Amino acid sequence: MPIAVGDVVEHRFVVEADQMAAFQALSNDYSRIHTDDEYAHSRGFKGAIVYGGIMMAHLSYVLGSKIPGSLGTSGRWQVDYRAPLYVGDSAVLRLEVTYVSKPMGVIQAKFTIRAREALVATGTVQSFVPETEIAGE
Amino acid sequence: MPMTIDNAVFAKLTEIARTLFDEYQGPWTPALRSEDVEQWDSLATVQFAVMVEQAFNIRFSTDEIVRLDNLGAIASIVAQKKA
Repeated sequence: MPIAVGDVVEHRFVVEADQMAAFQALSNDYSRIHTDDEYAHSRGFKGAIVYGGIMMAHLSYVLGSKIPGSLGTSGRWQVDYRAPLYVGDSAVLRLEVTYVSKPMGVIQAKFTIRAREALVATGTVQSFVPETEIAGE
Repeated sequence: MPMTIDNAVFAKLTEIARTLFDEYQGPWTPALRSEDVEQWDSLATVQFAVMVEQAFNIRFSTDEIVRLDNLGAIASIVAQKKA
């Protein structure tokens, strides 16, 4: 079905300790806010917080498999982190298409990530897509 | 025939361009072409066009999109659409 303004997709995910370890190995980011519960407590958090990069990996999954799907190419991501996500939290990423241009082969969408009834992150994405995948003239 | 530039349109256009082409240090004039700006490649042209569409609440046609390769031309097309 062609992509149109208002299209929505939701993706539920939980980040577990083994995924944190895998991301540490991949990124070489061993900053204490992500690895040290005691330090995270001292900074006002309940425990070590999930890497933003892992949340973006879930955004990548949504973009590559849902909207716009396997034919899209990301052109821009913007993200603001609003609250921490903790290991074991059940999170929901919701993405909604806000703009399409068939002549330019572009879509834009806004997304939120929520967990524990809190807004964890918000942002926007822009993807280049074959015009045949976009609704309208 | 020389292009007539709407100053208000050009100012807003320049503001958008400055955010997108933030590495460019040269003058912002209607004569500025895509080849003058390292960041202004074909993908950036599309991103620029999207930002301009949204800022001015207009839509470009396919024919117009291929002409969006210098600030003066873009300002002229926008002004025509807003007239």
